[in-house]
This record gives sequence, C-alpha cells and structure tokens, in this order.
Amino acid sequence: MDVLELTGTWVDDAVRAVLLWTAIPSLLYFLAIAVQQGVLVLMGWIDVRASSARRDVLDLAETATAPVSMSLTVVMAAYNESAVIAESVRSVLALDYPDHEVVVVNDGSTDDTLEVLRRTYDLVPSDREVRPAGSLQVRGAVRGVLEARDPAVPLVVVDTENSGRADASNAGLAVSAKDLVVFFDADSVLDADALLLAVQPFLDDPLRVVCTGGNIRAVNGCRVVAGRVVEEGMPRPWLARLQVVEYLRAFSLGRAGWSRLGALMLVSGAFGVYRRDMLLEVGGFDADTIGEDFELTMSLHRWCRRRRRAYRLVFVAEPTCWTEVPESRAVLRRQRSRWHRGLWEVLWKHRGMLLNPRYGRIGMIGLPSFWLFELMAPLFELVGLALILLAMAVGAIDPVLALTALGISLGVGILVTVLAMLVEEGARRRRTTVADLGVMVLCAVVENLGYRQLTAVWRLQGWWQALRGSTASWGEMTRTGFATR
Amino acid sequence: MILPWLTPHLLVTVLVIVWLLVALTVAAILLSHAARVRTERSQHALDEAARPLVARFVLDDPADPGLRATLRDARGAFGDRVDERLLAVLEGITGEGRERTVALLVDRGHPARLRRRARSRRALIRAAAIRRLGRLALPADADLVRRATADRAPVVSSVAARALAAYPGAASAQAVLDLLRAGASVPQLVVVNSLIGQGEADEDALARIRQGLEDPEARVRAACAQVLGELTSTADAPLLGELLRRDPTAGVQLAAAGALRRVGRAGAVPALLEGTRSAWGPVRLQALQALLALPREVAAPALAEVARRGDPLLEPLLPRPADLPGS
Amino acid sequence: MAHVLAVDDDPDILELVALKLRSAGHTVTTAGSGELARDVLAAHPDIELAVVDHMLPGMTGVDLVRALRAEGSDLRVLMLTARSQERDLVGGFSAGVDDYLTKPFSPRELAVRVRALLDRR
Repeated sequence: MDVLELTGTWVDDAVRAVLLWTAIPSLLYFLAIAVQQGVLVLMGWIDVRASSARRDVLDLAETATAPVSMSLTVVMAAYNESAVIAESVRSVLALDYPDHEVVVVNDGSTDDTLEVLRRTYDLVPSDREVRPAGSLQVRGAVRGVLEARDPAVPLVVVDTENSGRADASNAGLAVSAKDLVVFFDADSVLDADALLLAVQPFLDDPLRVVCTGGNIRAVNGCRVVAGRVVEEGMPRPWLARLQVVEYLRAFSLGRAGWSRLGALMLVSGAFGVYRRDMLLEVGGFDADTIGEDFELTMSLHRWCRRRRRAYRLVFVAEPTCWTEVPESRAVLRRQRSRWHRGLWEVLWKHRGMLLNPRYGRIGMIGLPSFWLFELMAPLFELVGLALILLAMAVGAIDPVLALTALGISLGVGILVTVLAMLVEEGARRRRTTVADLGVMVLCAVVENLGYRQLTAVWRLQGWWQALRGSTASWGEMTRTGFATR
Repeated sequence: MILPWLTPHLLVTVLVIVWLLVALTVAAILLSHAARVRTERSQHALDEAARPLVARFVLDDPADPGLRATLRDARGAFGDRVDERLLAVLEGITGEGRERTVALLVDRGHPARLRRRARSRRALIRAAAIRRLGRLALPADADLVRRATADRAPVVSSVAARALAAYPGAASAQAVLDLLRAGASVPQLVVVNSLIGQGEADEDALARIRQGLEDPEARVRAACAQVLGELTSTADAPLLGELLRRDPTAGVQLAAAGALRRVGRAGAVPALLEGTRSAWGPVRLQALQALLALPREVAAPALAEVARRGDPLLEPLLPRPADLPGS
Repeated sequence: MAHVLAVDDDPDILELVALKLRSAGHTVTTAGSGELARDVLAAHPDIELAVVDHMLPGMTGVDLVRALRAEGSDLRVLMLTARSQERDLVGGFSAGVDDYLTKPFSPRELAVRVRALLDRR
C-alpha cells in the first residue's frame, strides 16, 4: 500500500532518499549496540563467577571481628523522612561492621525528622564540627551538630538549612573522620553484611581501590522486617515489575560488565563506598549537577588519570541495597526525565574526556559508549521505530520484512534481558521463585512493547529540558513505608 | 529495496536464531533454577539430619562410640554435609569438643585432602585449603601455612597470613612481616591483625614484633608499632618514643604516635613533645592526641608548651587554658 | 531445671547451645532471630534466661536486650559475642546484658555461666 503515491513522485523520492541515508546508520547502530550488550553479558558472567569463587574463600566473620579495621562513616542525607528515619538509622547502626559511625544530615526538613531523631536517640550537642577540607565546600548553613548521649551509639546528626541532597552529603562528609565513607539514602534497606562485603575490595587491593559500588534492587514486593529484607518477591504493580527487570539488567550487566572491563562508569549514590581522602581531593559532590553520583564517579576518574595514578573502581555484586522504585507513572516520568538530564549535564561537563587518550578506557571506550548507547539511545530507538513504520507506509520495504526487522529488534531486546537473568541465576544469593522468574520473563517481553518507548520519550523530554536550560524539579516520592508486600 | 543485500532470507534466519537463543536462555534459567532448588533442598534435609548427630558427638553427651563410627564413615552427599557441619562447629567452640572435632576431621581424611589442594594450580582453591588448614590448626601444617605466605597470588598469601594466627610464634611472625617487604599486595590491615593475634598468644612472637621496630623496611617498623599499640603493653612506650623521635619515615612516626595514644606513659612525654614539632602534619596531630590521652597533670607542661607555639593545625584540639592545671 | 531461650542465627551453634543446656537439665526453646525471640518470650513467660548471639540479622542482640529491658523484663541475658573489644562489650552491659561469653566458647563454660546467672537470685 503506497500511501504517498497520491502526493506526487518527488515527495516519494525524497522520502526514499531519507530512508536510504538513514537505513545504514540505523543498522550499524543496532549492530553496535548488540555487540556492546553482548560484551557486557560476557563480562557480567565472568564477574559473577569470579565473585562467587572469591566469596568461598572470604571469611566475613574474620573481617567482622578483626581488632583493627578500615573505619567507615555512613552518611545519610535526610529530607522529610520522619516516617522512616528512626528505623532506618537503627538498622544502619545495627549493620555488621567492626568500626562504623552514622552521620545523619537533616537537610532542613520541614517535618519533625529532627525531633524524631532527637527523641529516639537522646541527642545532645556535640563537639564535632563540620570542617570542609581539601576542595570540599559546604553551602548549606549548619544549624547545629548533635550526637547520641550514649557513647556506645556512634550517631552524629548534623542539622543544616535545606540545600539539596548533594550539599547535605558534603556536609556529612565534612563531619566524618573515618577512612571510608558510604553514602546512603534514608529510605533504602541494606543487607546486614553489606558493609563487610562492600569494603572487601579495599582490603584485597588497598593501594589502588578508591571506590566500590554495590548492587541495587527494588524493595517493592519484598518483605522487610526490622530494617532487613527477609523475603524477596516481585511487586504487584506492573510498572514496578518492569523496573525490577530493568535494574537487574542495568546492574548485572551494566555495572558488573563495566567493572570487569576496568571502566566502571557509574557508582550509584544510593550505595557507594569511597575513600575519604579521595573524596576530599575531588571536592565531594557537585551540588550544581543533577546526576551528582555520576559526576562524582567521573571526577574520580579524571583526578586519578590526570595524576597517572594506578587506581580501580570496583562493582561488588553481592552487597545489596534495596530501594523503593516509583509505582506511579507520574513519579517515574519525573525520575527518568531527571536521570537523563543528569546524564547529559555530566557528559557535557566532562566532554573534555571524550575520546581523549589521556583518560584511557574511560575516555576511549566508556564515555563514547555512554554518549552513543545511553545518551542517544532514546533518540535512535524512537527514530528507528518511526523510520521502519514510515518505510512500511511508503512501501520502501516489504511489510513482512519490516515486521521481521521489528521482530529481530524485539528478540534482541528480550535476549539481553533473559541473559541478564541467567547471569543472575549463576550468582548464588538469589532466592527467586519459579513464578517470579516467569513474571520476569513476561516483563522482558512486555518491556519492549511500549514501556521502553515510553521511557525513551521521557528521557528525551529530560534532555530537551536540559538543553533549553530550564530548572528541574525533584518531585516527591510518596513514602509507602518499609513493610510493603 | 533499500539495501539489496538485506535479503528476506537473511532476515528470517537472523530472526529465527535470535528467538531460538531466547528460548534456550529461558530454558537454561529454569533448569538452573530447578537444579539449584533441588540441591538446596537435599542439602537442607541432610543438614537437618547431620546437625544433631554432630552436636551430640561434639558434646560427647552421652558418650557414644557408635556415633563416632557413623560420622567417620559417612560418605557421599551426607558425608559432605557432615564435613560442613564439623567445620562450622570448629569455628565456634574451644576445649575438648574442639579437639574431638579435629580428631574426627583428621580421621575423615581432611588434612590430606587439604594439603593436596594447597598445591592446586588455581589460586582460590589453594586459598580455601589454606584457610581450612588454619582452622584445623594441626601442628604438622605449620610449615605449609607459613610457606603459603610467599605464594604468588595475593589472595593466598592474605589467607595464609590470617591462618598463621593459629600458629603463633617467632617464625610465623617473621613470615607475616616478610609480607610487607615483598610488595604492596597484602594489605597492612591483614598483617597487623595477624600479628595482634600472635602477639597476644605467644611471647616469642611478641619479642619478634618488638625486634621489628628496628627493621630496615619502613612498612615493617610501622606495622610493628601499630601492633604494639593495639596490644596495649605500656612496657613498650619507651621503644615507641624512640621510634617517634628518631625514625626518618613519616608513616613510621605516625604509627608510633598512634600507638602511644594507647600505651603512652609519663616517660613518653618528651618524645611526644618532639613529635608535636614534626614536619608532617598528621604526626603532629597524633602526638598531640597522645599527649591529650595522658592524665592531665602529667601532660600539662607539655601541652602548655604546645599552646605557646601557636601551631594552627594543633590549635583546635588544645584544651582551653582553664582546663590546663598550673599553666 | 529452668526454662531457657537460645537465640542465634547460626543453626550449628544454636544446636550446640540447646543440646548442652538440655543435657544440663534445662528446658530449652530456640529462636533464629531477635523478632522470633520476642514472640517466644511473649508466648512463654516462664523463661528465666536467654542466651543471645550478639550479631543477629535485623534486630541485633543488644537491640533485643534493650527492648526487653525497656518493657521491664528481668530476664537474665548471657550474650555470645565474637568481638572481645572493650568498646563492644560496654555497650551491651549498659543495655542490660548480664554476662558475656566470647566466641569461640567452651560448651562447659557456657553451662557453668548459665548456672551462675540462674543462681544469682
């Protein structure tokens, strides 16, 4: 059916010319992304096997009871978290680690977050000071520093004016006095031995490792008791289920793969362990960027490579941070839009590193990959889809062939996801049921039939907003509390 | 056609391959899952059977030679679980029960198996074997574990250093300290923790650690200083003071000052005062903190001296003049 | 001769503790976590002593003791801990732990300490 026959031949030719010119790049792009995913699958698989093997030899109990250990500060920036803050802090204090303290930064909450903390932990004024060192800057005015009256409870609470999560985290960093710093969200849940596992690379390779990142999973649908996940499960809403599958792919392949390639591009702010001295060197988080965790990771790469310092960023698959994923479309839209905007801002800020041999694998492999396959992906995906549909309408391609091409695209999309699921099965700690696996496979299919395209639209919106320079809003995540099922 | 070589045949072939791979992967997931679940279930069932038997055997209450024979002769999957339970128990208890458990593990052939695996080509297998041998702590394996600290794989030498806590003594302390010479592949922490364990348990090891304060290698001196601080024996304060004054390396001075925070005595005050004049900031800080850790009357003159100097780095930590007696 | 509760997430240690105390003549109930322990204590008010592991998943041993003391419980508590540093023990004592036993422990010593705590009336 040649729709454009009626409008005249020159339009027809023009359309055919457009299609001709874009067909090959589209095909190349598709192949390139397939190869990249293939490499990440392979690397992810290797990483999982290596971690499992290492785990056999690891003696967590020894690390946990060692007289001398790497001390650690957990920095939690909290804004209006009165519903969960007491439980969250308690569960972080209860983490299995020989020497850790918790610094909560109250980022000018308008609810009674501070009051809850004060009551629960019997806070008294502290001698500790917010002392920015190195190139660290703290913008939010500090209203006070408190600590738990009981000296056996290593809790410090910094009360500041509202200045955003990045700046609040920096304030927490400025107070901390331990070797390592972990940034953690008040609404997340950590496994009991997460710190012990996340710190292990620092012990295995003390001179080079500067930062490690852990796994992040959706807590929706899991049973949480006393601040720990006791039973994993898939959430009920389909939107959340699709995200579960997304995260699986992003971490098992994305992070694990890049880490194995020696080019870990992103350590999530939700669960990252950093050496304190390194953080001070790079000045902590950039409070002006939205993708502050990505920015921090890039800063670390930049700093180390400029100084030609042997260094490593490691992804550790076992320690898991469980976080709540949006269950409403509106919140999800804002989140994806924000993420992509953050991605753009950071990539642009560090554009000097792109294809710059001085920055080794990051500049020559990681960044180009992120530019092409993360930043521009939504553009290519939507345009590619539009092209095929247009081609079908114009009669440039046999509709059966067009559908075949779409079928291949769909198949590859699903294949990558199920391969990620297979890699995960190889990791011993997963406790999913067959029913959940079935749901995940279904999600892998459904994801490509609208969800992906939808998130692509949102991401493009975010990018467009960033390019136009409009201010982004954070949006609220309505807190559903911990005990979800 | 847009691209002439993009034949229908090619596309359809690719389509079929891709979906075939999808189907295979899904099948692999389900199979892998089923296998794992089955293994876990059977292991769990066998564990439930083995655990009470092992517990009764370990406690020897009531004494039952038949039980020992049953456990000794356990084979196959059940035998594996018995081994796991015995090894788990080994980590948790001391005394007669532990000796009984070790004896049974020896009878079940563990040491021989582990010694073989300690020669494996794969580093992680060697490491796992060394770790288990350290748990068993059989005197016959002391040399093997000690030699393993010189293994080419850092994970093996790390594990061996930890395992040497089971064989405290001068030779073991030496082997662990040598790890600091060879290069940076074993973290200082592992060495320090191992030495703390050894120093606590054995006089000869402690003596060797003290000797290490004069070692030509800076990392060794620093590690020994840190260990002596953790072992909190104030008898070492003079030695540490000397180290703080004389050592040319910042890291060693820092370790000495840090150790003196824990074991400082009045006699160490002059050395600490000198430490507060060090060219290196962290050393000055640690020395001051060590002074602050001493009884106030003892350290007062020294603290007053530091206050007079007006060092901006030390200023924030100094007590207010009113808190200093007799300044 | 008393009803005792044993709490540990390590099933091997839990089995040993339970068996040792049973052979010493006590009635022993076990629990694998702090939350289960609370349920057991609520269901059996005749429990006089609890042997609690320091590191439990979720609610730690010290958290459990603190919560029990806050409810006014006069349950005797013997805590098993792998960490022997002073700073770790002090926190427990101030939370209401009666006595500590460091791991690895001697089963005989466990029975003796339990006996001593029960006699301390």
